[in-house]
Amino acid sequence: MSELGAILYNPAVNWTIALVYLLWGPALVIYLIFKLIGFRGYMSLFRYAGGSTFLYRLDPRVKILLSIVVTTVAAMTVWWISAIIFIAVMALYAFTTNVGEKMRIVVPLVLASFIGTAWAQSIIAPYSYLVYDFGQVHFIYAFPQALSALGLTQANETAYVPFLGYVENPVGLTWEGIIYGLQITFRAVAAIASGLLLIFTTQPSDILTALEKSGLPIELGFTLLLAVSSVPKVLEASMTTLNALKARGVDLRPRGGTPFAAIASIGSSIKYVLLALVTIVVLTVKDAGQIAIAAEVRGFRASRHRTYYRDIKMGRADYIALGLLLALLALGIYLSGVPGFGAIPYNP
Amino acid sequence: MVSVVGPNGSGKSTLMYLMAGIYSPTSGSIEIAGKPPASLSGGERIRLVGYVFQNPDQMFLNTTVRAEIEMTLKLTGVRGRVLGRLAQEIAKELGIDKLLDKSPHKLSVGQRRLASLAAVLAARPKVLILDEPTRGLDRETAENVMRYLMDLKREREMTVVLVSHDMRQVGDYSQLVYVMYDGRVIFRGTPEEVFAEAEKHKEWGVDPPQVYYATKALGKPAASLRRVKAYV
Repeated sequence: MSELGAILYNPAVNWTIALVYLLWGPALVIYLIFKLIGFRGYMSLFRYAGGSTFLYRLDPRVKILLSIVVTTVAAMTVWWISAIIFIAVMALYAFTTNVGEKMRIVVPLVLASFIGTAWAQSIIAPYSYLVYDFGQVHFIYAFPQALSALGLTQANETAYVPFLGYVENPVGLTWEGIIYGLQITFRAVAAIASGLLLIFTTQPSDILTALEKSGLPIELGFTLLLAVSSVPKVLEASMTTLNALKARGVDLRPRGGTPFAAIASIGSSIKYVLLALVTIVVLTVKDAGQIAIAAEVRGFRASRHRTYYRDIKMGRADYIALGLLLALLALGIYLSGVPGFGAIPYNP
Repeated sequence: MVSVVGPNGSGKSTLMYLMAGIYSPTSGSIEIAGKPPASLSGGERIRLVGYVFQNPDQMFLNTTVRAEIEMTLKLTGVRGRVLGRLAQEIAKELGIDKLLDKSPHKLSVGQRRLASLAAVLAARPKVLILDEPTRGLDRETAENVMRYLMDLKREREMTVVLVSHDMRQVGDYSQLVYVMYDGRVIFRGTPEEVFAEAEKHKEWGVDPPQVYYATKALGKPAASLRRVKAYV
């Protein structure tokens, strides 16, 4: 073993690198998202802003179907088809209002999805799958064998690990895992982008009407809508409560001259953040109570046959879009059976 | 007392957050009593600037009013048996000593407002920022709260910064009023000067109280009844 190998695979160093890699992957994603989008960006993420392009005029049922078709076709076909679909959906954003502001939110979210999925797949993609998909698998770094219990990628043969040599059944990080992670992310981001497009371009009440007209019980549709619309409220409450914490004199960043003081300060911050979570829950529950009263006062479920102030009707453009979506779905189903075009089963 | 007025989204809350050290300025600097609040520790900061939020619910972190007040005291370095005694004293001053062992979330709007004030005032700040301090209170309770704050201001020689849309309150209690619009301070003056200017700028969202128009018709515009009495 080389000198560098001896350092890298010293048990303490090996465990530290493995744990840092395991724990800081999701932390980095969350940090990136909050740094690039911020709380306010997140709040606007779930809010409808009006517009006048064809996307805003499309029947909400067609837009719901767009999300379903994109997600289904992306899941059934090979990664580069998902990438094409993703690019096509992103192109539709050109027809939304305030494109720059939306991209400021969507791009970091997509970037974070790439990093997050690539990180996860780089360590959990089954070895047999990677061999099937790529022919050869190249390890970058081997983690302690004990971590195989967590279901991390483990070779079922002797494999070469840089700086360590040939190792029997190594567990760890592979190039192919990272590449596979990046590929598979296109499926996730295509679905995310189409879902966001629906939220950005459709009034919440229209989504509710569309869901009900599609046969979904109104109670279920209302619950779904409330769940989506409560996200910005919860984020707003979280932001204000964290500001209130600071206003009350709580230091959220560790302070203290010595490591012990810094650790004590971190402990204290965690305690106060947990207390703030209770406040956020209280505020959310109070808000939910008010919504329940408002629904009651406005006669929610008072009559079995609901009438609509704003009705939705399919127009010519809607039927054209519907036809295109059904064609895409049919093509996806067909391609999923063509060798080289369909998604590879996870455990071949 | 200094008031800050302006339409929604004009930057009042951001300015208050900066003054309270909740936000750090991206350019320029803020100093209160020669110290930049954002660079101070939490305990030092709340002894310098106290911030009472518009919605008291957002400030409560504990299960009792007593714990809320004691939390502030602990953050300012108070320890031991004196904690309980001080919490009792502060609550008594605000007339909420009987509510000390109740959950702040279960109190009435007015009581919650007083509990949040008690929690902030426990640090004895030099500057007190009040964001719509009497919103949701009936006129009588609102008057009592404001009167108490004015007495406290005199007693503790404290600076009070009021953010309000209630122009009657602004006219009644302020010596100086700052008008904010589109992220900038665009005017400052006595309440009478601000109300006179606001008549020309409807976009400011500053709607002078009736007493101002009545006294103006009499030739001596005054921002509040108290000020009318002052020169009658």
